[in-house]
Amino acid sequence: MRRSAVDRQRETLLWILGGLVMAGIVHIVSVILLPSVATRDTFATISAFGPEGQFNPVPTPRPGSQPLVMLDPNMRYAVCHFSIDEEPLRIEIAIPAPYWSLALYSRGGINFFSVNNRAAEKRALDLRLMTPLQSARLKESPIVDLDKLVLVDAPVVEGFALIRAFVGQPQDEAAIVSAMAASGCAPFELPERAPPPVKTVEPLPQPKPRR
Amino acid sequence: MRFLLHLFLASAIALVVGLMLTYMAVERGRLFGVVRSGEWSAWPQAGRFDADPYTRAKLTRTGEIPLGAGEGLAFTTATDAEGAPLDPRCEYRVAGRTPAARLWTLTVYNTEGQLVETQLGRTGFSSREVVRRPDGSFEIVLSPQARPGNWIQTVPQGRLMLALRVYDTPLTTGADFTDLTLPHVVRERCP
Repeated sequence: MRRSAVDRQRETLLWILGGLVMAGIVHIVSVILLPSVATRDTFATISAFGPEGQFNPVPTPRPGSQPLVMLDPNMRYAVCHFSIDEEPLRIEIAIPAPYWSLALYSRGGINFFSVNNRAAEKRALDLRLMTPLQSARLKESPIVDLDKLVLVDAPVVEGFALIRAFVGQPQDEAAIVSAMAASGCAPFELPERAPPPVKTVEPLPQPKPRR
Repeated sequence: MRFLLHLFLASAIALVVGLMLTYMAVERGRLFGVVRSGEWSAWPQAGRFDADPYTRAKLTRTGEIPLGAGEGLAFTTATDAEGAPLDPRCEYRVAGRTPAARLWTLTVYNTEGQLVETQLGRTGFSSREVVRRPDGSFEIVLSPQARPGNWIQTVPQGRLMLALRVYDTPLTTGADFTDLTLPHVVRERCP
């Protein structure tokens, strides 16, 4: 039996519609997968500036030599790559610049925390970056004065911290750059877990001996 | 045979249309979360960890390290106030005021986001060094020839892009974007 031309057209139309639905799926999957196949590896570039455990200066962005994309040439940068898998991280910053800020990023360059020197409200910043588990351990310790610290729960175990500092006067640049390099970015030891409270067992009331 | 043809047609549509949508969304425009005001556009989503997948894809693709919400916000434009691309052979006047911020910087890039070498080495201005009018507004001239006042030299090659970065601004901490005060980029003359 021969199918009519209308049926054939309808069939083709259905296939086209199916193709469009699949196109939507291809689009969503490709957007989600794109970060993992990205050609530029920012984290590798950042790791090349120096070792872990300290802030490494990023070369000043100038025409023809830009260490990273779209940096502000008015700012000086220092970066520290970290892994808090085993030990939490302590970041200490005190920079004599009119403006400085700290931002924390995941390996892929997604920002998860940022603060500037006015929001820090102190001349110095003492920040602890921890996994939720490490954070719980720090908070249960009675020794640590938590009020003086900025506690950050990290949504990732690997990433980088970036300091931006504005140089207002050229003569201040040397002091600012050396303060950036002197900023701390090293693992710290969590206080020892408090010993478990000693259980005091009430002695069972002894039956009085009969006389 | 007919089935195979149909299968090929549907797969081709799926791949071409799907990848084209991705290209348009990620490579060409920032379709989601973009804030536009006049010729400027900013992208506050980029400084958040719960950013949408398009923002994440775009960020990892370009390798750009965005300003965090606690640091500030970057506005960029590749056109003048009338929507024409910025031509470095022309003279432009960037005049007006900026949103409330502790510090701002204006930087000239090419459209690839690279700083352009000039004879004088100046790539922009900051709020600390710009000379203002008595009413507090400012005017910066972009021109290949020397101009009095706040002048940035341009090199006649490629196209330009401007970035206005406002540091420590209430914009990133909940202030709304409806009444944005931004300078305008006005073309003065072209050779």
